Amino acid sequence: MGLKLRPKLLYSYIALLALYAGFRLLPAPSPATLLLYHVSSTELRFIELTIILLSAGIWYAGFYGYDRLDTYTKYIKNDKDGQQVAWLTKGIFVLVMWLPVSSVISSVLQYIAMRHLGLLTAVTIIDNYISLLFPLVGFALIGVGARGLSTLVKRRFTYPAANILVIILIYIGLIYYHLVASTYHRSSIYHMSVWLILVTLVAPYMYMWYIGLTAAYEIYHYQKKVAGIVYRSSWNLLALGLGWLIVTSIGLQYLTTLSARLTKLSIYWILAIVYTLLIVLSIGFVLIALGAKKLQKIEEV
Amino acid sequence: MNTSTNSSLYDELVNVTHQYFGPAANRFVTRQISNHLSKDPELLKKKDLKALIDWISVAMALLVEDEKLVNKYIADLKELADGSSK
Repeated sequence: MGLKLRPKLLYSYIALLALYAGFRLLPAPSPATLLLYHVSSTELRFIELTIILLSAGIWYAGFYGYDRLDTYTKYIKNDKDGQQVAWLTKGIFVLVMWLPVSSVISSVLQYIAMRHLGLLTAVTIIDNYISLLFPLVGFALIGVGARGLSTLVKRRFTYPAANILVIILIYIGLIYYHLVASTYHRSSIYHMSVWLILVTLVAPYMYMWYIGLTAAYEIYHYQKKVAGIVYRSSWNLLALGLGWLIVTSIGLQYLTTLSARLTKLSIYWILAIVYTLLIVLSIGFVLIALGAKKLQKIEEV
Repeated sequence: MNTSTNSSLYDELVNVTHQYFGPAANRFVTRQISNHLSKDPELLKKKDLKALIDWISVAMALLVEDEKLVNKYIADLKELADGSSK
């Protein structure tokens, strides 16, 4: 089977990649962008090409991880653990789609905004909400599955663990709030009033990080407490992959919201930071794929 | 020797397997019986156990590298087979 994808997934992958590449490479770069980054049109297109190639690899890792997990889920769909793993799989699917779909939509919107400057505000707002919506839905679905799995092993949050999580989230939230509220170019980044940003972006992000961290903890506990030596060891990689994905995507979103503060860096440094994080994120998908493969084997032998 | 249909034999087999396969135990045992003995799990008889354990040991060896673990599982199954034939 190797690293092949099911035809439906493969075609979706190719279609998204083609759209993304088309909207990034075909339109002429805006003079403002060239001036901002001090690069020529050819240099900018070359940078875009490296980004597309890197994205292609990261998306493929995501699609492959989802494909393996989905195959495993189909084997066990009628059992108690299968119903919970199905929620995880749905959540992973949304997270996998988050990167390509948001990249494509963002490219299309930027293309439109470049030709109709009056739409820039609307484009930025839509872009911000799309970046929030996908992981929010993904984490919510993963949270349902993780809660279901922890119920199966009759394990819930301990009082100290719940307290530690709340403390961590309070500090993450306060720092995030401070960064958003004190951003110098806030109006050009969000195009919204500070209250609207707090209510419709900051609060949902904090909620999302809460359900994400909770899910990571519950999956870890399920893997530790579930019966079956062979089954448990096969869950190692899957649990690690899910936890990795949740924590790194939280980190990625956190850093993305700080992007305004990174504008002083050169384009190469910004790209290096963002794509290092994306590669780290893709490791989560690879771990999920390896873990799902091991679990799949139990269901095939 | 009692060779009548014994539904609890299947349950006992799943119970032993549960220590190794957890939530996948039921599916694993059912699949071994259906695929290798070509019969309904509820129709499992004591006389089928020897062949089934042989198949399970092959399956287990494909899944687990830890030989001790494989041997322990097979020993547990043999103990069940011996106990149920008494």
